Amino acid sequence: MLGSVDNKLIVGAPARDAKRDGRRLAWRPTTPLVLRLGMLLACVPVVLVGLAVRVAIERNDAAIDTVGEDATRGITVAQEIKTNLAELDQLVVTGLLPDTTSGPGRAYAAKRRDVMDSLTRASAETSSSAAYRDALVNLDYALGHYHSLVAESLAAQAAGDHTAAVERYQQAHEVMAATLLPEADFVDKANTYLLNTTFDRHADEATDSRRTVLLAGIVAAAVLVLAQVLLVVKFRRTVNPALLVATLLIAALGITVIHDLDVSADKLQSATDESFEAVHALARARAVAVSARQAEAQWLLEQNGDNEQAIDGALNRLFRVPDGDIARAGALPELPDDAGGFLAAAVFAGGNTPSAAGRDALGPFTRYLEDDQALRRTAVNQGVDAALPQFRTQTAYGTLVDAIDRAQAAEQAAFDDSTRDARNATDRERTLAVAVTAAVVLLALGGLYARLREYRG
Amino acid sequence: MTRRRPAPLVLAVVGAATVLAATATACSLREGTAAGCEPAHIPDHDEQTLVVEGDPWSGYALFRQDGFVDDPYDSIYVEQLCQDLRAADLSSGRADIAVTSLDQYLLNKPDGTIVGVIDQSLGADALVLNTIRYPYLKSVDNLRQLVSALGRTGEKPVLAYTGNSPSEMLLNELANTSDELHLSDFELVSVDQSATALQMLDDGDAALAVVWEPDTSAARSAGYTVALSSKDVPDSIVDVVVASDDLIAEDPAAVQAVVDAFYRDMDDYLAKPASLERFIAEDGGLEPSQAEQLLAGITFYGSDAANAFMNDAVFPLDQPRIEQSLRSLAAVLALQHPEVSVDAAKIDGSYVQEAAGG
Repeated sequence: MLGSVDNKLIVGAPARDAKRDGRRLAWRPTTPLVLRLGMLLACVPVVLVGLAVRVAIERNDAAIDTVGEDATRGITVAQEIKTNLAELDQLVVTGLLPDTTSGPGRAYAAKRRDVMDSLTRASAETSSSAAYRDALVNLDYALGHYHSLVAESLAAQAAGDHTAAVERYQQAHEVMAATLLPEADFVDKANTYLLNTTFDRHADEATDSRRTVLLAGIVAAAVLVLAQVLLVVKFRRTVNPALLVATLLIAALGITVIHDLDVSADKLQSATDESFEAVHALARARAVAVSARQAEAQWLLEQNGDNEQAIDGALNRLFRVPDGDIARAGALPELPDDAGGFLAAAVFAGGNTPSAAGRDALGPFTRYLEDDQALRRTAVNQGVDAALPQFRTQTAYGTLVDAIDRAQAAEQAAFDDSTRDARNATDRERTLAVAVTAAVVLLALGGLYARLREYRG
Repeated sequence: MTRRRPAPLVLAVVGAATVLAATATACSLREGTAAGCEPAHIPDHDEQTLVVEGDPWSGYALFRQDGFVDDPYDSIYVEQLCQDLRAADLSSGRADIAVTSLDQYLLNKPDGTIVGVIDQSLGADALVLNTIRYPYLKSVDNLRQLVSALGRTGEKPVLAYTGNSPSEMLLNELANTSDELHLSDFELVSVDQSATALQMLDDGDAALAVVWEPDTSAARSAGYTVALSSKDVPDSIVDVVVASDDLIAEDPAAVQAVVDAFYRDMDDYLAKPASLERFIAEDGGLEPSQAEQLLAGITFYGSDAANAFMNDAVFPLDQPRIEQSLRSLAAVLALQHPEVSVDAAKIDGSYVQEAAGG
């Protein structure tokens, strides 16, 4: 029934005959041994599939942690430093304007604490590599000079020496514009580099992981199919149900894991390429908007070409089009392809689906632009004293900053959702891998053990 | 009689052997390509002759003059194109002086000290856009259009640059200062020299290229757009004189002789710009117009400017510019090479101070 007669002949009588004949007979494994070896061999690739899945999931989670949290947090902190620094500078210059009744006082002290907090957080959360450390050291060092120049400026203002106050502030602002803000920018760039390289590495590793899972799954399924075929051929039996279920399970596990890793990678890609790019552009726009306002105040303090250029430079960094017709470009249903600046970058970050949140900030920007033009006209035609109340009461700047904040919050929420989805996509895989691997091992062993028992019987 | 077909096992062995052989050949070819990186031949010389290693860059022309150093010293100029071997020669004592750029000094860490500053690029090295192939590519603001247009077909625009050279440093610096240039958007292709990068623009194989003079001017004349240049990132491409630590310890007078000779000649040339242009043209076999363009993008340091660059602390970081430049370059390089550290860098401004009469 089992073809076992032949097998017995192989291990029994022929061996004795061979000894008697003085001939050496080649060793051939017994059927129980083949079955036991088969049980072992069927388990090894199955366990390897389980391990491959585990490694793939761990790599995926590590990439999500770095891309979704570490690097983006570094960028966010860098932007906080930049915005806080710009706001600090804005507070001082606004406090020096002729219609000011009291200096920046408490507000300056509070903002100074904010700057220190963000620097402390940045040094705690970023790598100790020269790429990050030196920029933070320079920030810390130059900030001392800035504070002492501001202190001298405020002291001169309090003593009624407006000229000395403005002169000292100009020096302080030079430290801010030429050293502090660029160094803060470098912290941002370094973290952006980390984000990009981690993402690229993740993409490569994810491809490797999927390939490994696929390969391990194919090998495991092939071994199970081979075992099935051998059983059919050797024992002339129909399909072994346990082995069949085991094969289907291992195939299903491989397909599910590869699919879920794909979904996770897509989610992470869209989180990084779209939402976070918009968050990043908006955060930079926020700091530059503060710089634009600071430049307006500085121009009111001293109307010269450099200060006017500073306003135009900041506005240009926010949004620009080659023909200069910003109002028209901002109002078009679709932004022109050659629009530049951080607000345009935020809108374009969405790729095929331009960021609506970024787009919402463009309206307030064009209104701020109108306010700025009106302010400058008044200062030139009627004098600074006439322009000062206008500067104090204009609301477009506040509206713009609020719009940028709202857009940033919306994109940040979208980013958080996408990274959460990326993690959730592979949440079940760990448990699934253990359960399916165990089940397949048991089924394979069970299927072959049944043959072994039959053979013994 | 039929020929026996090779057994599968034999086929597998033959296949594996072929793959191994191909891999070995590829490896040896790569090594062969790096054949230019063999140790430089250094002619026999006496103890008073100083070996200066550098490359054909025009900024190093003064070191190539006969009778460059005053008696009792003499000098020979040896070309070593490979920066790592140049650094190794300085460390091993084969060379006494190396002329190189600050970024390469940081990357290759020779046992040497920076004792002088030669020049810095301020416009000579540039990022060029292929406006001929992509007419809308007129500024860095249009890069996004280019990236998204090619992205639709799953491609990335090619950016050609010369690896292991100031072009690479410029590219990194520009990426770290420009808001619009994101290196991850491009397929970065490292080529052997600036002319090859320019050729890739001509052939339509690259959408962007980093080139240096005279290719920068050639690209501009051909109708390409020079979007950004070393002028946008000052203190990034700085050439310096590095003396070996052994020479400094054993014969500091020799180091002083080299530094004195360089600044004496450079001060003379800077006082007579037309003669500097002629000298650079003769040294590099350039047309006068090419030499003029080259000099327009470079700032050479005379003794006073070098003294200020190396010794005057600059507000608000209160460090000399060379130190600030080194730190800034180290920070950029450390992004890709975390082992780069400014702590091992050595600067000694006393030789330049002496040369400037300080």
